Amino acid sequence: MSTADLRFYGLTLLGLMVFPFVIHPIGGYPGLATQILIVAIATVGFNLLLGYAGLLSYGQAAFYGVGSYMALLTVSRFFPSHPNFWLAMMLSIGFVTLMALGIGALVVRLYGIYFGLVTLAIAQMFFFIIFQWRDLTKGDDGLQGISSPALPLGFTSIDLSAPLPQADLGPFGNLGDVHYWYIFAAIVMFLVLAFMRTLTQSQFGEVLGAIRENEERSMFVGFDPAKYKLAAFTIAGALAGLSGALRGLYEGSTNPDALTVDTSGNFVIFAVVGGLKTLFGPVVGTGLIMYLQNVISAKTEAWRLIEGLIFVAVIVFLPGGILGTLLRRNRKGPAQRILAGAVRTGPATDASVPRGVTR
Amino acid sequence: MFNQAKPSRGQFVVGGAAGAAVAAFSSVNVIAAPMKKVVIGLDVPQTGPYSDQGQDQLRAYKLAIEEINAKGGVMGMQIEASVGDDQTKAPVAVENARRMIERDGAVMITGGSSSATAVAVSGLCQEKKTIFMATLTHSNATTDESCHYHTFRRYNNAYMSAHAMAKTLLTKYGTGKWFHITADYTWGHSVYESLTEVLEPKGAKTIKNVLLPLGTTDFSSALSQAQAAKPDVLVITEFGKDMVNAVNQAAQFGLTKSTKILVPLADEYMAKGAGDNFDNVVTTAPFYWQYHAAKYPAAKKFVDAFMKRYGAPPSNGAECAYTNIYQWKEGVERSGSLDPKKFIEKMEGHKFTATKEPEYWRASDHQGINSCLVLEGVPVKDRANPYAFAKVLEVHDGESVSIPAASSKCKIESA
Repeated sequence: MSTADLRFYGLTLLGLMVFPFVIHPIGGYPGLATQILIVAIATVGFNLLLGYAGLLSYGQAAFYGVGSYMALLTVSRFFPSHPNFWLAMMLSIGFVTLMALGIGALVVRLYGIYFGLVTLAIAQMFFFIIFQWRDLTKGDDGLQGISSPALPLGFTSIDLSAPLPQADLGPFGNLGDVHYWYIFAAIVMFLVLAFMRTLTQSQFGEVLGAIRENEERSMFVGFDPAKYKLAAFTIAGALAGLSGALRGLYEGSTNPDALTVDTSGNFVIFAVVGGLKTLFGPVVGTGLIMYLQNVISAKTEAWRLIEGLIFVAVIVFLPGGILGTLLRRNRKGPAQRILAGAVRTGPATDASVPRGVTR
Repeated sequence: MFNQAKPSRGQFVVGGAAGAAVAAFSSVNVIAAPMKKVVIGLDVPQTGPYSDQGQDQLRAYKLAIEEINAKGGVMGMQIEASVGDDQTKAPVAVENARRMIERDGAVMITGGSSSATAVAVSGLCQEKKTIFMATLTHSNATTDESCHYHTFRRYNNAYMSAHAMAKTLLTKYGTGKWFHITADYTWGHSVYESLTEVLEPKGAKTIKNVLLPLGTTDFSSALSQAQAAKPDVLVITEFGKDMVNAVNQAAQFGLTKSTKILVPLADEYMAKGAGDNFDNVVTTAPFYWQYHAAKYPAAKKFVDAFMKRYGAPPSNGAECAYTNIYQWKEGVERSGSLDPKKFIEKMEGHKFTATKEPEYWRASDHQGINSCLVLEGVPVKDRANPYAFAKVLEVHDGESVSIPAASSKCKIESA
């Protein structure tokens, strides 16, 4: 591992470890930290679409919502006598991945507004399926009061809703306020970030950037944009499904609200406010906006106004998003390099690169 | 005194030594011990289709909390409120309740306006072993198939409204053609089932039931179907701003003139919004300020205090919110602790008189058994003030219209 890798893994772990405590003095609480991490998984996935591939999907809520329904239905309806956490996660993510692959195959050849509109329409279709299929989904009432099964680890199983041991941490709250759910969500988030980092630094990420910047030219160099876009769409969908499944199991409930346009729009806002094309931007954006929604809404009725002003301010003054602006450097990114025809150093790791690519 | 809860954990927030010293030397403060606080969560919609109702409940909560705190609080503890806007959405309501319990250490959550939010919050409170005093939730589910050990609901339910309306109206409309426009969630389904269950055996014919999602603003497709079907009775099971939109649009279709309109549940704000279109509309309510204030001194005291503070009378949801706070306070004091189990033991079967006829909490499902009024809207010119929207047709005793305990689907968890 290089120094950069070590620094990345170390800082990420440290950040995840202190996160539920540093938000305590500003009115946050560990439950909110858990929710932020879970939702941020979907935003990180969405960033691959919007930030790296430049595809503005307005349909991420379909994957997120269906993920939550599949996980809870697995526990409560499909296998009620043997509710299993891993099974719920696997069925949910598997189903959503196939769904994303299918939808992606239909939409990746569309451009700009058409791509946005078709993803929106497809998400609405799923909303109405969930809303109308009352026998299975209980309609607008949603699935409720489903207790999450313990997390089986082979040698033991952990009740994720159990709290950690009590230990007073002064201004940073109490260790006992944190539930095992947070640790689990943090581990998943760590893995997702590591995966995303590897992915975006690989040739795959660079090609996505090249397609975003100039699709025709990347085609001339020998890449098939549709394939790359489909892969990005599927990965983003799968991560939204993972996020939804975790959210469903964490809350023990879900509701058609998870599939609304609002939810899709939230992912866009989270990603844009945090900073597209940055690894941690989506996490920062999700955290900030969810914090506002949760904590500020309790203090003032004008919290929507505050949220709106922040969104506008970010768009106008920080076009790269909060983190994107902080991290902006005056160097040509890898996407520019690949378009400029720069020779890549080091061995190519991506076996999916079509033959005949000049390097 | 109506502070937002500060970040803190535990059920009590015990003031520091400085607080004690100030209290000891202060001539105003009679409590010379450190001031203890108890946190409760107010989880109501301040935005969304049911926001008028939520905001009015919030006013009543504030009034009750101020009154109680001014008189020394609950067992010497000052009540602190943690407020959340549930946006009339169940997931938000659950998030709020979670924050109130986990961060602020709320020992009791109260709120509602949409039954979907109430049922969802009730599930969370059961998991968290926290008392939930549901306020404005009318679906049967809250104390029927989705009932929970930690949840109490004093507000009338759909079954009660259906039976009360049926008893009053069957002689006039029972055998006609009925057309339903229903909000597509637990409350709407509950009202529709309860109504048809009572009416159909008596000979009423249900032509159609159009289900529309909560938050619908355009009712024209449902209303044109109703217009074409020429029903004798049009039942609009919509609430809050949705009901105002539905009734006002029904008037544009001429339906308020040609058919009898039933709105199974309404309040002062909805009737105000519908204006003259609410004339002759039949509805139910658990409380009507004009009627009860004239009849019961406790109601008059509450209505006067509310009017003085806010310049408008309380809606029926506000009355329930106000009484819920007092019921919780008295329950805590009877049990002598904040332990939910002891509180619930003292609540089950408890008989009391608040702002209306004598009532009680039924032990088997934690439903408050109290009276249900059948009201008929009057035109705006006959309203003494914008909130005096109806005349009372009949008052039904709670026992006579409630779901019989024997046929309840509620299986309450054991303590």
